[in-house]
Amino acid sequence: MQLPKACEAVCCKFFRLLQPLCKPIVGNKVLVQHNGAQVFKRSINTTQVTWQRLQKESTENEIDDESEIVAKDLEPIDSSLDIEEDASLLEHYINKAKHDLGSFEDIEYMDVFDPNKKLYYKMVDLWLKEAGETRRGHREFIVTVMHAMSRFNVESDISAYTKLLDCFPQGEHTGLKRDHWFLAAFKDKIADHLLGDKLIRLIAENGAIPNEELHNKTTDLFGKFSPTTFAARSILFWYGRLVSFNKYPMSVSDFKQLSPIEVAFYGLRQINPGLDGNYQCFPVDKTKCTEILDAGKIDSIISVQTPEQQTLLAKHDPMVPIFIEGPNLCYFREKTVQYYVMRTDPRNKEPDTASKSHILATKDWWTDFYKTDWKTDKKIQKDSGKLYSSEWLFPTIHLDKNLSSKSEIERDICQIEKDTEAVEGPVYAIACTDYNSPAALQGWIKGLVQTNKKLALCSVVFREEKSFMLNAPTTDPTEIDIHDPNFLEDAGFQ
Amino acid sequence: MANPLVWVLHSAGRRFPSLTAARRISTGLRLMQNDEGDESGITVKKETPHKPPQRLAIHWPKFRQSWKHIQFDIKNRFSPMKKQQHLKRLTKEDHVVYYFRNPDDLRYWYLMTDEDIGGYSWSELRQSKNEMTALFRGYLSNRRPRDRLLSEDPLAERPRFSGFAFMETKPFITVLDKVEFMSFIGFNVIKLRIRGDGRKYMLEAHCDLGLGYNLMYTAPVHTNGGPLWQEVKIPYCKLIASKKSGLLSKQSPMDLHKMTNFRFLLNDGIEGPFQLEIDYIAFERDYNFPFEDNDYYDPWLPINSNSGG
Repeated sequence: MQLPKACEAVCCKFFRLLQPLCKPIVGNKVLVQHNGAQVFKRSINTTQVTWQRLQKESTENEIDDESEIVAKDLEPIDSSLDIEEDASLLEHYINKAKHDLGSFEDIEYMDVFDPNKKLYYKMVDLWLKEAGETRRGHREFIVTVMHAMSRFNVESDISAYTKLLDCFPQGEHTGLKRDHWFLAAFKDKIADHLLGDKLIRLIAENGAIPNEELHNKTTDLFGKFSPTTFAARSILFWYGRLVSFNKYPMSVSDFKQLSPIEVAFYGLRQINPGLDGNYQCFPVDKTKCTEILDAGKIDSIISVQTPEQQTLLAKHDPMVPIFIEGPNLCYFREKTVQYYVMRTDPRNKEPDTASKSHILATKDWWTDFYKTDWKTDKKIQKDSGKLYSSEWLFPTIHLDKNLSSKSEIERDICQIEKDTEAVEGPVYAIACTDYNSPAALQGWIKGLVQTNKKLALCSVVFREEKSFMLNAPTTDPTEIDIHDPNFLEDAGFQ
Repeated sequence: MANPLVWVLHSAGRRFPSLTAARRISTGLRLMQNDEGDESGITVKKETPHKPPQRLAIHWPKFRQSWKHIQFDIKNRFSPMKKQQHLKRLTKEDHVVYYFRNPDDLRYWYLMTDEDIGGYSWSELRQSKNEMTALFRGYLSNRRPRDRLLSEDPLAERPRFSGFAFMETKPFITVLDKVEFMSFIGFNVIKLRIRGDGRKYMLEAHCDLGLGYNLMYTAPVHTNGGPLWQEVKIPYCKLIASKKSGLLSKQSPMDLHKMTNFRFLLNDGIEGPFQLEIDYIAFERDYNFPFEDNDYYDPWLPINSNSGG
């Protein structure tokens, strides 16, 4: 049926108005005009895309050995910024924020000195301006920003995470809030709640300190009965209690900015605990030491000695040699510290016979024999914990009373505690370097002689020991490798 | 003191109490031997009739072990209070539970790593050079197993994988494979003397409340590393109840009558070698800490219980 011409014109206009909704498909992606910027949005049918991509790759690279699969897995895949769509979104707003820095509205962030952090806050503010009240595309933006937080050095600032909560659509009628315990089960928009849950898990991973502001914002947004607020409550409760197990807590951003010498200092503080430790940095004589180190390694010697170790060294017998035990590894959070130990071998402790030969009687012998007190020569009474021994009318105070009598109390730890002292001698000092040759450690001894004068009289020997931590095999050494060509020979077959 | 036997347990050792030094058996390969010397190098064995394994009507070794436990139990119940071991603890100030002066003491522990899941980290437990302490060491790798490789689908989830390794005590089996509980009674504090490598290990105590309801009470132990020994004190009230390495919001105090296992777990996520040296594990009584309470409570209990978390 043919329509009259006037109706056709009206219908064409009607369809032209609808045209923006029917977008052209470019490849398998969908073009969207998002607030002035052309941004590629992810298509819904990605399985088609991935299948085509995999088919292409399989024809190009025919994998014969399994070793190639292994090499691919080792490449980092977790970075979502490799995808073009997300990278373009971020860079669009970063470039805008860079041009806009220094405007009058930056007074809000005057206390933020790091330019990268300022850029982050500026970027989010610009997106909020352009998105408007509806906050269109908030899920993609939040996900990209969460993955890119390390670029801005903003991981340990809680205000950065609360800023992202402003990117969710605010208001009473968004359908996001779950305020009633029964009606929460029938509510929608679980993706937003799970996104918020991911955000709070990021806070826990990066070690940022949670706020009451975090909890208040999540309850205003998501309601009391949502998984995000549950996560916020749990992190508020558990963060302080889990950090208290750690003696030296440190935030992630501070740890990143540490130089290798600072890492060595913190590592030595962990290895040799004590508030009165004497930390010193000694140079290495490069005429005698011919070893060359890489760029990020420590060239000097950082040593630690507590006053207790200093007194032990002063009592040391100069006839007995002192040993410096070889390099060993220790972890300080994610980084490693290589250290050397100065100690001696234990001596067999002999009893002091000189003092016993002059004494004819001791207190213990006197009390056992005469059953009287040593000084006052009065008879010893039972229940010596009494204050008023002669006056029985007053109440008696038994100070040493326990569940059982004294003779029956058993203590196990004191029998076992000191077994290792018979095998391992005392430690005098600990140092940290990246040199592996004993010639470099002469600088350490020269420096310690200034505070420990007895060291000059003693002989110091370098004892090289193979440590497990530096030479650990990555695979089980007892495991039988079937694909090894020498397998049959080792197993005994020809 | 030096024992010619060197007990070395590897992570391939499983939970069977009879096996002590076990190795992984290669299941994929069966070797053929050339008996007749063919030129082709392949021989085919004749098919033999299938003989089922011999099954005894009564498993006599198990019956012998359980009879010993029955005798011991009867003696213990009708003996005076001073000789009963679990009540004797009330008079003690300390009680050492595990110590490693003999190499035979390693048979009470078994190891496990993510090799069972298909991972690539390994571990071993042996006596150290001192011949007094136990060494738990190995290599932890975060390489993903074949089952858990990531997909290229951008919408698919990308969960993180980290390797793990732990050493756990074998359960005490008494009568016909019945698991006996350890007694934490009378004491307040777990005391350790360890020498680590600076990593964070988790001390865990397993609680079996029956009908498949199992809880692990965990606490982190940050080791110092270095040559000096470290004494760690963990009170019972600071152990956190968790299920499958997830802390629970509803904390309950430990049921001291139903504890089964001890465990040292490494779950850092840091790829590299690890080493932990243990001198002793003991119980102690400290009156500064409560005896029956837990330090953790749920301040949002009426809300959290309804949200289904």
